[in-house]
Amino acid sequence: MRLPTRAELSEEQEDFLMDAPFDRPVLCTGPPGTGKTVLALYRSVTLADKKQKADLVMFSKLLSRYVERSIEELGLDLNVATWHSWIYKLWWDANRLRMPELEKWAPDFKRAASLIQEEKPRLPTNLYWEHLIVDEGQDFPKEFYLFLTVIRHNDKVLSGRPAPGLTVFADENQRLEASRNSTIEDIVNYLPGIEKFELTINYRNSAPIARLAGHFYVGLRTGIATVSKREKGSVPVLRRFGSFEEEVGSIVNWAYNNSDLSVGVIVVNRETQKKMVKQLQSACSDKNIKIQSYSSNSRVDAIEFYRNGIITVICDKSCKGLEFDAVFIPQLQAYRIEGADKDFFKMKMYVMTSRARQHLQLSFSECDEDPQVLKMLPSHDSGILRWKL
Amino acid sequence: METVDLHPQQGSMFGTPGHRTLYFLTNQKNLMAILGAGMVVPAGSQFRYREDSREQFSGAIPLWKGAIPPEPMTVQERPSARAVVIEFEGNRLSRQLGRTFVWENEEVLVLNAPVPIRYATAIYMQSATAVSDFLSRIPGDVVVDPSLLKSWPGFPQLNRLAEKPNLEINPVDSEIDYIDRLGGAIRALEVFSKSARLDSRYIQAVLEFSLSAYNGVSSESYRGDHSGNKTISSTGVIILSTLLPLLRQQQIENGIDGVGLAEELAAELDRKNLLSEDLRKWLTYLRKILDGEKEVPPLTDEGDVIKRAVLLYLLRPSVDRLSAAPESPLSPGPRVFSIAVFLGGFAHGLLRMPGEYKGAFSEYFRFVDVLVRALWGQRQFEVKSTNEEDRSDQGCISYEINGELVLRTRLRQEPLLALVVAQAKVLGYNFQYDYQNDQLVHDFAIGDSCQQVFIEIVNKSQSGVGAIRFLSPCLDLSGSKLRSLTKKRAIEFLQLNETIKSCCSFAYSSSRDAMVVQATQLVKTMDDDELELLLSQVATTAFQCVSGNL
Repeated sequence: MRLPTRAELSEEQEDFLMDAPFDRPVLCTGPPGTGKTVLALYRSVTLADKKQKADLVMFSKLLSRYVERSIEELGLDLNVATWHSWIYKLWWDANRLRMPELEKWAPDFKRAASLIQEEKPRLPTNLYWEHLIVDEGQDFPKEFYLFLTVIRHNDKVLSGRPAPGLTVFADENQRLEASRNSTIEDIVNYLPGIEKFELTINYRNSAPIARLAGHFYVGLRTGIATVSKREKGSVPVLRRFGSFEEEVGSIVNWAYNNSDLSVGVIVVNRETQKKMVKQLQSACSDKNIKIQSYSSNSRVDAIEFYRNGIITVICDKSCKGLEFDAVFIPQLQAYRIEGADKDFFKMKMYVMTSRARQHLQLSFSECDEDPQVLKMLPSHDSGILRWKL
Repeated sequence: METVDLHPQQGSMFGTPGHRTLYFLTNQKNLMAILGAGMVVPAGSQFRYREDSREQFSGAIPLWKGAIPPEPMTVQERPSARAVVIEFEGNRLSRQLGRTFVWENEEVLVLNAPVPIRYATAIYMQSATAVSDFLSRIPGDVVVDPSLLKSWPGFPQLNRLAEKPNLEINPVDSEIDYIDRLGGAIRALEVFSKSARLDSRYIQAVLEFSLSAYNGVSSESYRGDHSGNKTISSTGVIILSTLLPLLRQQQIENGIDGVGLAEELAAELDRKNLLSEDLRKWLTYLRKILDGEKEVPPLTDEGDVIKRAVLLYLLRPSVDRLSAAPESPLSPGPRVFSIAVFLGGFAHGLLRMPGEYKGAFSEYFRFVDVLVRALWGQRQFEVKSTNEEDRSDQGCISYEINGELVLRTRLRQEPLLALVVAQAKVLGYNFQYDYQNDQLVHDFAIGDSCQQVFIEIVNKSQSGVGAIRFLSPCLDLSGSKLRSLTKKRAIEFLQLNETIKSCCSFAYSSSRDAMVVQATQLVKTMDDDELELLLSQVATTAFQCVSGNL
């Protein structure tokens, strides 16, 4: 892995890179795929050049693992942690006591902030960090930011040092739980003097894939990056195959011809996942292609994100947060939409299709009639989806 | 309105003597593009141009003579713009650029040409903090010599604002873009030659072909190199002459899509009425592979290597992706790979290349300067390649364009033949490696004479087990001499195969236009005795034939 070159960054990403200050808090907002995590990594490199120690805190374990691999490959000296482990360790180092909690694994930040103001921590200087980078900042409770602000302005903690640095990346449209998470306004209110940067351009998907994903999007328009930085790209394709073997064969051919790229196969359920893995293994027996499967209860550290020549088979429920160079969504006939919430189905399609960076194929096989879901897809004359039936 | 030629022939670099220092005023964001490109270019040619002093001169480059204007003619005073002053040493720049200015008065010299950053003596920013902050923020592809960056001194100021000319500048975007594209191709070839085997003949051919198009000559009429050698097939000429202009429209930041490019290529060939049945079939085949409907075969140097190279490039349409191709199932041959790397680097361009392709700042700045010297304002191009030995015994080939050394590619031996060279060396034989043809050559001494023996690869498998052929020509059959090989004479050779008491045989070699004595051997199982025996028997049998003693 290498960090993007200047040309590969969008202009607004470059503005962040060049203009974001280090002596006051910074907030960078943007919908999914706008490159917030890439900028978090760039920020870490800049801090390393400035001889500042950076902690990168992420909400999700999967994304944390994903980024950890990137950092290993980039050879960065950067502490990556999930927010729980970072907070609990910080508090323990300063107090030798467990963090006050509202409930199990739900820190009571207000109480912790009061304790700091009351000068209760035994080793207050241990609450100091040099620069904290928070990714997925919308998923943290707003009191977390209050807690950080209290620390950043506490004389005992600072002990003559400058206020610790803070950079937050967030997208309020992706909040997991509205009641426990933070809005952009919350973050701005709890971090006085924060400088805001906004990312709007889709950095992950090629324009044709972004257009197809946009067709399925049913949330607030601010929650989706409308323009793709990568204008060029092949139009996603819908294909019909006579047999399941042929359908799988098309995935294998593509993976073989593009053996340096990552391939994700997103399926409707565990049963289809098992069937797909079996057929892929058989079709790849004489090729140097490895098949791995991932589900929500799989061990994250067993997943190989970067090795070439791997096809990852995942269920649709587990694909959020992952991305692949090519995504295949086979067996469309297994999706049922009659009687189901159409908006729910469309959002599911949005999440699945937006996992693809540059190649996307939807397909079905062994059907006498067209699958129901075809009614939900853009028409063949829309130019958004190439129907190759 | 004053109209100025691109390359005016009047005037000297400095109308006013004594101004040896020239200042260019810009800002940090433009500086990134300038360092990334290794040159200052007119505004219209710069990647992500942000308004600076060029704005006042219709996009041309104003170089202030010894002092900067009292109110800098840029947006640099805005704190966020982060002002930058680049200082050039006038005499060195003068030697490089000669008479390429488009306007001049006592205070300022205006250029409509690329100015290599190699001639910068300092790059000033407002403070030492601004310098260190800039250095920590730049991406890896922005190459800089940190010692050039200095904090703002007290600059001499001009007493009055310069007279602002009303210039009409001829666009030079296309020329500068070509320098950038060719630079990208050359750097890609240089870097890839360190890890993969490239083919020097095809590198030279594709350089010449590309330059012939830049020269204003329709590349479709390309008839071979300066010696008339047609390394590129006539179909290859049609494909490349259509593809290269399309590649110049690609920008890596917008993504380069192989499928889309294949569609554009087909449409363009059709528009130009160049779509033969053969090309139609090829494009259909290409599309099936790109769509994953067919599995790509190994892209060895067989058939039309241009077609194969284009397929490889469309499958791996970036230098990053091409770098892994030799280890992939595509396993391209050196010729196919050389052309694909050229295409990848050409589409990528120099400015947008990752840092690892640019190398250290000194190397990169020198390269850009040499490239500008070789191409800027030139109308005729001569590409020359020379074999060089290096200390690693591997050898390299240097390529010059118009006498400027622009590329040096490492020569890498075919691993199978490298094993034979090593084995022979232990036995006291010094086999010469012929990189042009991927074969070994040895003059086998026989008394006062010697007989030339070639060792070539017969086949190699993926697992590394391969066979070689020892061969030595014994009857020249080139041109009209082939007629001397009558049926009777051919049968005599075949009969000799039955009677000669050695492990070699006679054969006709069409690639060498000769009858040869040859013997085939698996490398993996060849011991020292076998190597010596085969070498000596092939050489002596051929020598006996040549001297009429058989």
